Amino acid sequence: MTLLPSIRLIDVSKTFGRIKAIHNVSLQIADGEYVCVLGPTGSGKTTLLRLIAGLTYPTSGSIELDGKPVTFVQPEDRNAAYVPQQYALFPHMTVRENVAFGPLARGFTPEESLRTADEMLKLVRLSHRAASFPHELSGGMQQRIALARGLAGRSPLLLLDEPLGAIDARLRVILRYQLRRLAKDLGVTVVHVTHDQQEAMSIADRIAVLREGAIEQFDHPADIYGAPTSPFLANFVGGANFLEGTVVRKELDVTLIEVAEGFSVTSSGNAHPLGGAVVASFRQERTSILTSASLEENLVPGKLVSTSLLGVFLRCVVDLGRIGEIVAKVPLREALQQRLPDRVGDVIFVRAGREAVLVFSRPERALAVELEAF
Amino acid sequence: MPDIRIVNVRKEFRDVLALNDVSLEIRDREYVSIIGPSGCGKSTLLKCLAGIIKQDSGQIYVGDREVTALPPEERHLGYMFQEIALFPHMSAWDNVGYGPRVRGEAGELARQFVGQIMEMTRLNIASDTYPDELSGGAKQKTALARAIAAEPQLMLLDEPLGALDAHVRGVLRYELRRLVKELGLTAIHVTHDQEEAMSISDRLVIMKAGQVVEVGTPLQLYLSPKRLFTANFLGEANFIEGTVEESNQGQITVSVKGWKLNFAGSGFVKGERIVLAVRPESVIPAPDDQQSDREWTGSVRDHLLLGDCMRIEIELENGTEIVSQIPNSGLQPIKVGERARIDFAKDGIIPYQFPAQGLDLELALE
Amino acid sequence: MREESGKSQPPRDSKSSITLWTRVLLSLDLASGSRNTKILAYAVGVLFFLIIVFVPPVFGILLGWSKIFEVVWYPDLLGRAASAILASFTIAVTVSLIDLAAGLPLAWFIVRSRSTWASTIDTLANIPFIVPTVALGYSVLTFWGGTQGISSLLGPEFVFSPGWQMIVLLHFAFSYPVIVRVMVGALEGYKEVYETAARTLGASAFTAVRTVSMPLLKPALIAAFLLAFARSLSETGATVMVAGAFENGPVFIRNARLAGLESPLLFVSFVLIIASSFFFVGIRIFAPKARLPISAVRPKLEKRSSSRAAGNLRNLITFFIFALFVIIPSLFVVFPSVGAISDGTLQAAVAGTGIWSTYWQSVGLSYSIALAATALNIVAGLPVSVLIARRRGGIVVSGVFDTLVNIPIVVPSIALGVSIGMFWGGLTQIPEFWLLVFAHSSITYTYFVRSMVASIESIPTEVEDVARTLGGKPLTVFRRLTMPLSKYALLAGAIMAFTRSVDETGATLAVAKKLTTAPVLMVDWVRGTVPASSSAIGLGLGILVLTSFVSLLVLTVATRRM
Repeated sequence: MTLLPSIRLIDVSKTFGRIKAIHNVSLQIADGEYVCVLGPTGSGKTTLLRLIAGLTYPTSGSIELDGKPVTFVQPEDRNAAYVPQQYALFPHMTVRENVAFGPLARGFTPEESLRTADEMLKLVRLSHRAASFPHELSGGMQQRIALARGLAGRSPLLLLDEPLGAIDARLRVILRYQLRRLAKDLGVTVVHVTHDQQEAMSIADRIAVLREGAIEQFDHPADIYGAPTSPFLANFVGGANFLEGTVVRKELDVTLIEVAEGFSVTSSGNAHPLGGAVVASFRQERTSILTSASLEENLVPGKLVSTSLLGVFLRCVVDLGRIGEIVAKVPLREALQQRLPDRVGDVIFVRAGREAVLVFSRPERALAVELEAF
Repeated sequence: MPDIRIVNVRKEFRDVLALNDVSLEIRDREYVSIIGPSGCGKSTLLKCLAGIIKQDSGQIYVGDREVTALPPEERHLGYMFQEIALFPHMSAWDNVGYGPRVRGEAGELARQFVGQIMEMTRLNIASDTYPDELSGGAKQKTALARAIAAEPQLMLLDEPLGALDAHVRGVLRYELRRLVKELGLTAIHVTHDQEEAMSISDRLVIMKAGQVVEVGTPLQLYLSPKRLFTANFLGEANFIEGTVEESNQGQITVSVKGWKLNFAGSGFVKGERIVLAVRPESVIPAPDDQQSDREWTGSVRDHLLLGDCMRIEIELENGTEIVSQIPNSGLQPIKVGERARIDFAKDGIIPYQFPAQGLDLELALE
Repeated sequence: MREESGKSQPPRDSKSSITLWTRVLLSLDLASGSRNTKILAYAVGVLFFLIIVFVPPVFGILLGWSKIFEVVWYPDLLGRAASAILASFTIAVTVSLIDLAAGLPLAWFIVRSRSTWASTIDTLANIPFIVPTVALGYSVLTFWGGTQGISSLLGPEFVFSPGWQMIVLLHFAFSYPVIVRVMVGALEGYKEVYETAARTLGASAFTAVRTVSMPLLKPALIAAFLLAFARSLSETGATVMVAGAFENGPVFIRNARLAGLESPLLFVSFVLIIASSFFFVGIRIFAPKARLPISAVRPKLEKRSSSRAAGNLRNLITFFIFALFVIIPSLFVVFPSVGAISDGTLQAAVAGTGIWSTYWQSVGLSYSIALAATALNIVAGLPVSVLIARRRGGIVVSGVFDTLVNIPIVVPSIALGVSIGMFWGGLTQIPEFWLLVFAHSSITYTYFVRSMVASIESIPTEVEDVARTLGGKPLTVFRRLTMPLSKYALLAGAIMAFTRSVDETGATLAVAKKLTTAPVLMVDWVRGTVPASSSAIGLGLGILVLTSFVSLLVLTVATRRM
């Protein structure tokens, strides 16, 4: 691996007319890294990818690839393979010809190009479809061909725009791990754009969360999950419960936040001033449900409104009266032992440990807007 | 609100048999999801129910009324499309008011009615807003309001969240259920997203290649799927092939590539080929520092912190790969390359006869 | 793992089997990467467009500025000119609206009906395209006016004499397929899901179509209207044949030319050019904003209109109109041409005796002009097509070109010819052959460019984006992707341009002093300026129909194999 960063964006902005699609973005991606750019539709992810590919040029700022400035260099001279959302396989060429396009365009002989194409097809296990045309293949296969085509040009950089977007949910889970494995085996740097935080969390070395054209946080998945820097992030990546309140007591390592009359939440940490307007948030899977009362802190009674299956958890919606409604994710085996599905309608108790409570300053916009409820 | 009965419906397209004698019963006020891989026929079934496609044979009853030959406008249903299909040339409000308008209702009363529906769906949109100015989620909510405003007896949802961002999907699906339940409607929701279906349905119908594979509540189908396909399609599962060594007194011993596995079960014969489905959360890994040749040990190939849970891929000594997914306990996971041993949770092992057509075909998701 | 990182460019001394041709292509590819080369390519295309296609027809007339308004001194002539212009517009607007109403149900049937007749009707609807307009003119003249046409079916009261009624019948017939083609294309691209959504909300089929589909198809309706309008306004040859003593714009210009009255000729040409350009641009800007009546709904009445019986009745009426007013009149020319086989005219034609030697000369001329014009259009039209389709130079620039490119077909071709003649005649001494080639090129350019633009626009930009990031230079992308994916459009556009050129009468009438093309000769034969028997006319036209049919057959066969 080289020591030069594979991609470097320095204060890049892109404006279309009056819309600022990308807002002063600075990024550095190391050689061989698998980075996911995560964000909702319209956040500018595709524009970012196209800027790196050279399909559009920044309004201000500069871009470097492998240490060389490429800000206004045309795409064919950048050596960054781009795979768009709909794959854009060349419909009039066979699979083999599609994959051989890159080397051929770069000046390799037809024989060499086809040899490389065959190598790539073997890698994605589609050698037996080399003579087929794109429209004869399933969505999953088309995606693999698009990848093989991108990799055949031996670019050190792969830019993927929602590569798994058009694929069924179940297949997506399987294919994304294969995608990561392929990239790691070949040692390519990957920028993978997606709106699916589960996808990003499961395969990225680092995630850049993009919102309205600017980067909210660029970190390892565990750090974005464990230490999100804003309520938006806590909600968008992983989901959480949120309670607005005011800091009523502050000690060395403990803060007490009043969220409703007579009820306060204890949180470890002391970053916020006394009297400050804050938002207390805690992850749904760190919210436990107890069937009997006790004198622990952060324990409150509520009515179990509904239960449903969610992955390896039982998702329980609890009505806490004037405090509001919260969601608890209880590991399935535990939930079945507690017979929670049968307890819908009963009074139960909800608890979140003080270390699990993250505190943020109250955002400028109303919390609902900030969390992008619609 | 009536029960829905689908009786022996068959539909062929050119040379593809989309629906192969499908029969189904849905109770009043149920929220039922029909799920399956692309091409399984779920959308075709929904369209036959709506009258958008005409089935080749079979009958459809809504309550006591046979609707088999009726055109869509006479079936009193609400339909949500994957493409959302809000009329681009009308404002959002006019879209929602379309149902009342074609019934001949107009004027102030109709407008108030539309306002009520908008409030119920928690839509805060100005009366001069056009669909192309709305976000994906707001568009689909408007489509929902529009369907509800037509006062349907039955809600049909055709991959309603397919065109939306993952995050929006995760939030809006609970809204769909809430509204349907609040209005006391029966809902039939088609999707390829099993997580979505499991999280909001009263019952699930699993389809594959034009036929109904299995029907049950989410918990039933997740914890005790009757078919291997269901075990693979609904949630994730490890599939372990082996041979039955012993089966008596409610205990089965299976040999898997030289190792043995013991669990509660019956109905299998010694020497029979068997497939065991084990959900990732039933595979419990622990560090193994003993260098002995114990069974069910191996090395960690990869571990991923997925936020609320941890996914650990282990390559076992006997050559099988196994995946474990357990809630994030905050403890340090076993490092990649280190040795681990696995335990299986009690009643976490579901046995199946080895399928005649081979395991790959049976499990195929495409 | 990154050992291959250096291998993304081929080694310089690679042993290769690259031929010389490939080497040339590769260096051209490389050259296309530079900004200057790209600008040069587009500049050539744009210059051709301006110098040959756009400026002469639109601005040439201004060279005769002084003479244009002399006609004011002759109030009778002025009055005659004014009513001719008015007649042109009135007929064009009326016919186009009626065509829209009559053609839309047929297009609907073709696309939506599941009957096996749908594709047959689709093919039949193309027949008037196959028949050159001069043949159509004669066909209409004999069917509606002669003794063996409609009068033999329904009685002698149904005969029409040449005049404005026949012009209307003629224009209806040749504008009808335009409407049908445009609407079939629009309906095939229309997402039926909107209509389905309306029906699930309780709307009957009729209501759904009226309140949802029609408003959404409005752009296509407007486009169809404009095309039909342009065709009606512009057509000269056939109109002259059936006009009798009546005058619309083109007929007046021809008469004025024959009488040597230059000022009224220039005046009418000028007014037609200005008025049609403004009309076209105006409709393009304002019509999208017009609202169709969609608010009121009468559920019971509309439900009855949706019934199967109502649908069948509607189809019946549509087919009847289609058969009587379009198909039969178009094909009527077959009779005299078949008759010519038996009465000895065919032998004379083959031998090339008498009037037939001029005939074959004129056919030869028509084809050479058409070939030259089409070749020019292809070479110079490609850069402009790319410019418009891919919005090079920005949305405004490509939008302007998009509009300008359409103007030559809106302006009546005879007025176009007058203007072109003035432009080139005033500036240089070009041989008449090339003058005709430029005139034809100007008129047929639009057909080629629009076909290419539609095709290029349908290629997702992502395809080209990917190709570029894989290392493809602009020319590589163009020749390996854009062109192969547009093969059909290129052939279709070329054939449309070619047949249009062979068919072209108006501009030729205005420009040619010595040379005579086939359609012009046919007009002379029919009007009696050159004496010819009716079977000779029939055969002469029949041969033209046949060649047109052959070229369209070639197109169908070639596209089926693509």
